[in-house]
Amino acid sequence: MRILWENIFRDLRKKQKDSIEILAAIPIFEDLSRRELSEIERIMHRRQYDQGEIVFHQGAQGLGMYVIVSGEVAITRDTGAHLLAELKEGDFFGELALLDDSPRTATAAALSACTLLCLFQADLLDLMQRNPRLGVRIMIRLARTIGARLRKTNEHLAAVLCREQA
Amino acid sequence: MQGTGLTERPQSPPRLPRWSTVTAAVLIVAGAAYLLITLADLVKILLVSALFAFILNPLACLLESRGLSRLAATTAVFLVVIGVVCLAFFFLFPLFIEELNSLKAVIESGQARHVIERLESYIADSLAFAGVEEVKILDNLRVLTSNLIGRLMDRFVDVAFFVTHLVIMPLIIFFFVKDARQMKKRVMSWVPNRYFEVSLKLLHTLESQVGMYLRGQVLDALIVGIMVGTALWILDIKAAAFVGAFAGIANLIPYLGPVAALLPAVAISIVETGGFDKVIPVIIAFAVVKLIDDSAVQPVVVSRSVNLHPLAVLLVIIVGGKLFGIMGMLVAVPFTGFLKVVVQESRRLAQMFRDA
Repeated sequence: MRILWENIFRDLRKKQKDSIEILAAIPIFEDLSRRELSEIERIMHRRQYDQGEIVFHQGAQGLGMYVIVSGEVAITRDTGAHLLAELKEGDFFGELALLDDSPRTATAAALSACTLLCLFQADLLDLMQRNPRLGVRIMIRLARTIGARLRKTNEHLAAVLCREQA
Repeated sequence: MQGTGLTERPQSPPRLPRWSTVTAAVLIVAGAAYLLITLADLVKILLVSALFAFILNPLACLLESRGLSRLAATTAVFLVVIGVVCLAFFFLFPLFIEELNSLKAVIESGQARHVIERLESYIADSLAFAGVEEVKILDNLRVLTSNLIGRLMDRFVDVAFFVTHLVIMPLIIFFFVKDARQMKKRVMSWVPNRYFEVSLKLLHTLESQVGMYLRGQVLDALIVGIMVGTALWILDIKAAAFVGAFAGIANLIPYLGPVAALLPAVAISIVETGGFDKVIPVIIAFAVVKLIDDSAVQPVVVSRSVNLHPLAVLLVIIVGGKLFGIMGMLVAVPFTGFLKVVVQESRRLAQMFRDA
């Protein structure tokens, strides 16, 4: 009987609210209004992964980025032999696939049961067509994020080279 | 370096033997085919509605980019389409009736009878080796011009046809255009994670291949119809508008369409003039239109993304026609191109999982 009276939409609204709060914290979507974040959340796919389930394989064609709503994800190379990162709630990965169709450079797998939001390149391009201002803002932030990763990688590489030479 | 433990997969259930997987796949395909044939009418309505939605979707997206909501954009597109259809009905339809009545009068006057009868016996003699005993061009033209309008009106008066095609189908198309994104998202939520990315890619490929192909073909058909109608009007062929419209529609079907449009145009020119004076000019007019279409219109307007061998194109058109009539011939090419991508991606995915 409870189900007749319970607000069954509360759970849906809560999920959407949680998703929007997580998206707001991501650099690619920073400074976007709540309405814009809602629009982005509407085109994203929500997926549930079990522990150990593979999100995408190294070498597979990249199609989009993933945002962790809950749970943990491990990024590895060479069939799990090298662990690159362990990501948790609020983190994101695979964003390079928003720009091109290059093969994935690593494997992503769920370390625990997790919920991911996925934004795919084709959906982002569709968004750019019907809302060019929002699409361009996202692309600029995406470029900044990738640039920041590149700078960090360069610094790390320089530090490693310095240590080796020393 | 420490591993993550991810290489140690959880215990998976024992694999089924290969023969049971193949049997299950065959049963599923057979069941789907049976459903498809049983519900053929419903499938046709949904297929045609989806095709129209593919064609109208970019217009709705364009209006959305101007600041309209999806609902407002879809409504605006529909109002424009209804306006165009009404204009066509009130201007073109009476013109077609007038042209067909004029052609009917010429046929019944008998001025072309002698020429047509000579042509019929010539064709019958030439094709006697194939078992053709007689050819009835004049009788067929007489049936076409006297019954065509009557049959069309009977169809419109038929309540079931009216409700299905003029009420239900536009509603289905409206909701396909308005809610396409939500429908896609809902369908994708049913796909298991293992096949999620590849299914999404296939869905986007379907949209781009089928959508771009259809939109290009419709625009090309419109341009060809106008060119043929204009050329025949210049040649003073009385049924110029009707033949132009027929040529435009026939052009939707690759290779076979243009030929199918030329034959009635030649036959009508013989009937109207009572001789073969305009046959060569009509053939030259069609050749010029085809040349302009192939060299200037198609490269700009029609997508070449399907990438099929011309023989494959002909075969799939014939199969599509056998299964679903004219609509089957129209969608056969882009649908086969999509199936080709499905097979390629499935093989690549299977290879990837074998290697993993």
